[in-house]
Amino acid sequence: MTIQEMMKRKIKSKEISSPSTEEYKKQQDNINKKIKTIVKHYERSVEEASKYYVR
Amino acid sequence: MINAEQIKLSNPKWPDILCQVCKSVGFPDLKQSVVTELKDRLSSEIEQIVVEFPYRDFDFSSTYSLFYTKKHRRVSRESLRIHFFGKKIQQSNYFGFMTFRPNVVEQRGRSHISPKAICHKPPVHIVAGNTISHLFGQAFSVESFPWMAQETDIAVCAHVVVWSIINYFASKYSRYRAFSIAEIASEVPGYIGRTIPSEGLNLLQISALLTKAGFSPLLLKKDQAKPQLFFQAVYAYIESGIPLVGVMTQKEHAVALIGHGPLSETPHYAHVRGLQWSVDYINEIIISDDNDLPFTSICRTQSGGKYSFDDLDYIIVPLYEKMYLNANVVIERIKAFVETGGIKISKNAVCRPYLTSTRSLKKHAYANKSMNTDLKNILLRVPTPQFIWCADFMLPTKDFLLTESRIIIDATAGTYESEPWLLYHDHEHIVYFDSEADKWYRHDICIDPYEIYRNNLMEY
Repeated sequence: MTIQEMMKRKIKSKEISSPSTEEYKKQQDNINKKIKTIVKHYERSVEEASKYYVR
Repeated sequence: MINAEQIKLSNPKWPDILCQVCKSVGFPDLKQSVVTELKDRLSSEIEQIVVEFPYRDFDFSSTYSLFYTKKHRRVSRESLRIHFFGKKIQQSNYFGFMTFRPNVVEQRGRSHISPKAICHKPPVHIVAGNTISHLFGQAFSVESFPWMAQETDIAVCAHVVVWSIINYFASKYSRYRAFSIAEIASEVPGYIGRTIPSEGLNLLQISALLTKAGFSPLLLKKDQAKPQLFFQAVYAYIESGIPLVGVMTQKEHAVALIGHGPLSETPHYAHVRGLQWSVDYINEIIISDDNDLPFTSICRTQSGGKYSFDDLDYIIVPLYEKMYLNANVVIERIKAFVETGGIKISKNAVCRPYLTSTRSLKKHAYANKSMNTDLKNILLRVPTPQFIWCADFMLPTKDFLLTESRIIIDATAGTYESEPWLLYHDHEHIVYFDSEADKWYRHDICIDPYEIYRNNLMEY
């Protein structure tokens, strides 16, 4: 498809209120808990970085 | 005068001839171990070598002025360079070069060698940039990843890894500049003890060097209880075309992680429940190790080679400043989104997460002939930041060539933002966010699998 054809082609989409399922919304606390653990681990990785030497 | 001599590798005595030629052009003894390594590793693509001496290498010159001029014993400043060619001495047959330092400890200096010049089990997927060299005024270019052995006095493995990563980015993107190894050694922030001669670097010093070169480094240690999460992140960044500093703390060694081997038909590690991840289908990570010529590997198991996945336990990722969301957070979000039915994917689909630039993804989408026209149209029009995370759900056909679903995620989103999606689609609908209108839209359409996105890594 050329750029001209692309410009002419208008796509009509339906507006929606949210991209997520109700189940995904319900799980937010649980997901955030897991993400908090990940973030803590990344922080620990920085804290411990001065302990290790490579030669 | 500059000497250049040609050596044909069809002569089985070429290693001896190479040593003799080096002597005859004026370079002191080329070490036998170096010649043996070349003999063992050079592929059949290489049919001849051109030896060039004297060659004033800017990198060795930098260490010469920083360190060797201060030594009591005289050290020559002239390097030797060898170029690798196929049948003819012409660009299409050029496979790169290696320089050799005149000092006695470690001769193998700055090198740019095509992966095709080195024996390996094909195919490998690696990051590679373009470098130009000149021989008698003629320019030759080669796709490679910068490599050298450690200088030992002023630079150790950590300096070399940083040097290779910075110079790879400099060869590829104009916003980064090249650094010589001496500049890197001089830029090392003081910690405890002196920096020259170097007694090694700690991981914060490595991170600080990358910061000085314009990166926003991210450090990640392997959680021994959950090594899978660590390797998911390693794979995601490698698949993004970002070479990483890979650290083996027990061995006190660092290497550059620059690619991965082929994806096997069945996973080496299978998740009993939930999503399958492409990291589980690879058996080796391709590395650039200053001890050996480049494009060796870290294998999943110890029996596979010199290093195994168990040895690798820290990474430093040189990120661009606008790449905020880290790989593990993105993976956790994708997992939750799929498991709660946000997107429908086939049971046997394999998730491949990677970072890329909007520009590259849209360029690839425009040229993709198998992509649904409406999907292409929406993808090309949807406003996106400079960098995005993508999760492609690939069908496990041979070589994983087809994507059936995709999630595109805002790399600048906050860690706890619950809906960082910009666009996602499965085979029934496309959902996207128009940031201009601040609204979500859904487009219902049947989408057939299309060719996967391959741009970040080069296949050799």
